[in-house]
Amino acid sequence: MNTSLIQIKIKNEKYESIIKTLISKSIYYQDLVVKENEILLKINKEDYKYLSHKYKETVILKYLGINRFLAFIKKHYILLLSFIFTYIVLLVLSNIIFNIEIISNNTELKRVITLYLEDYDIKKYKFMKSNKELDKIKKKILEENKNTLEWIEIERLGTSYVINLTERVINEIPNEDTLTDIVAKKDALITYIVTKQGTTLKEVNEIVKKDEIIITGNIIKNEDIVDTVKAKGEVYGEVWYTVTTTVPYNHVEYMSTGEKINHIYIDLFGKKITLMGKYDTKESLNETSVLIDKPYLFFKVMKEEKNLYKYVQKNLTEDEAYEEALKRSDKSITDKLNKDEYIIDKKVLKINKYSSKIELEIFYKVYENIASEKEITFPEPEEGE
Amino acid sequence: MLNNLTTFLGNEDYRISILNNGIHILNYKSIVDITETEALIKIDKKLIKITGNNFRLTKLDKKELLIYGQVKKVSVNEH
Repeated sequence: MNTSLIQIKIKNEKYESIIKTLISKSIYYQDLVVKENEILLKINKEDYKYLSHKYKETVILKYLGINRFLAFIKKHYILLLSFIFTYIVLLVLSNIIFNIEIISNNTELKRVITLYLEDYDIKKYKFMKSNKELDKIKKKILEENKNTLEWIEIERLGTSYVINLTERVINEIPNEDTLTDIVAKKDALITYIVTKQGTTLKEVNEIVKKDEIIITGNIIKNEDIVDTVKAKGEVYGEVWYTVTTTVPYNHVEYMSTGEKINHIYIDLFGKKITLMGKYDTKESLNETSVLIDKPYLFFKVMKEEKNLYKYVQKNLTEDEAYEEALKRSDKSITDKLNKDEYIIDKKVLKINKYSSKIELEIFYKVYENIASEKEITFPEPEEGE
Repeated sequence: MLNNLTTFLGNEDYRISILNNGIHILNYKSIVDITETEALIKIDKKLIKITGNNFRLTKLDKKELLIYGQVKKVSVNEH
C-alpha cells in the first residue's frame, strides 16, 4: 500500500496536455477520472508541488493512507492536545487519594493503622496504589499487627479508600499448667458427670446455673483445701431452649440451576461497557473480580460471574407450613450441636395462625456438653500477712 | 504489486491483457505517444500500436499502465 498518496483535482486544463506532462516527468498516478472541466487523479504527495506549480488550479481533495491521518492531526491538533491534556488531568486526579475512612470501633487500633498506612504512603493527596501493592501492604500490616488485627480490607471507592478493620479477639484458653475449675457453660440439669481430676461439687439430676462450679480443682479434705489441680472431667446436661419460627404460606425459594455466566466488561467511571457475556437477569447471584486495573488507565476490566438461580414460588397449606416450621426450628438447634449432642425432646408451646403465615413457639430439651474451664483465682495476700 | 510479483516469479518479460473496457500492459518500456484514438507503447524490442476510441490513461506506473476505452485493434511491430 502506498502510504503517501493524495487525491488531487486539476481544473480548466486539457487532458492531453496533462497526460503528456505526467508521462514526460515520470509522475506516476492512478484512478484518473476526466470530468467536464476537471481531472481527478491520485498521485504521490512529493509530485504535488510540481503539478501545483505548473497548473495553478490544482487542489488537494483528500489525503490517503498515513497522509490522511497526519492531515487529520494537523487540522485538529488543538482539539487533540486538549483531549490528551484533559485525559492526563483526569487520570492524575482520579488516582489521587482524597479521603481515607477507617472503619473500626477500636480508636487505638484506628490510630495505629493510620500510622502504618502513612508509612506505606497511603494518605491524603498521595497517589492510589495498585491492587498488587495494596495486597502487599495488607499482608505487611497484618504480619506486623498479628496480635491485634484479625483482618484488614482496603477498598477503593472512586478517589477514597475505605479500610475495614477486624480486631483480633484472643480467647485465652487455659494451658495444661493452669489451675482450673469446670463450670457450667449454661443453665442446665446435669445428666452425666465423669470426674477425672478434682473434686465433684454437683451430682446428676442437679440443676446448675451458668458459671456455677461443677468440678473444682481444689482438693478438699475435711473441709480444708489441701491442694489445687487442674480439674478434668466430662459434664453433660439437659439444656432448654425456646425457638420461635415463622413460615409464610406463600413465599419464594431459590434453587441453583448450576449454570454460570461470565460477563466481562469495562468499568468506565461506574458505567458498564460489555465486552462479552452480557446476560441480564435478576435471578442470579453475582461475584465480581478485577481483571485489569492499572493506574495509567482510567477504566478497569472487570469479570462478573453470574450463578443462575431459579426462583420457585411456594404455596403451602397450613399443615405444610406447620411441618416446615418444625423442620426449620429443628435445623436451627441441630446446626449448633456436636456429634455427641442431640435433641432429647420437643414440645410445641404455642401456634399462632395468621392469614399469611404460621408462627410456632417450640420448647426443646437438648443433651449437650455443658463443661467449660475457668481459671482458679487466688485472693491477693493482705499486707502484713 | 501482485502483478509485479507474479511477473518476477514467473520470469515474465511482459504481458498485454485486453479487458472489456480497456487494455492493461505490464513491463512496458516507454510510452511513445497517446491520444484519444491511438496509443504507441514500446515493450522490449517491440512497438505496440493500439487503436480505438475514447482512450484514457487511467493508471500510470513504472512497470504497468492501464488504458480505459474501446480497443479496436492491437498490432505488434518488431523493430
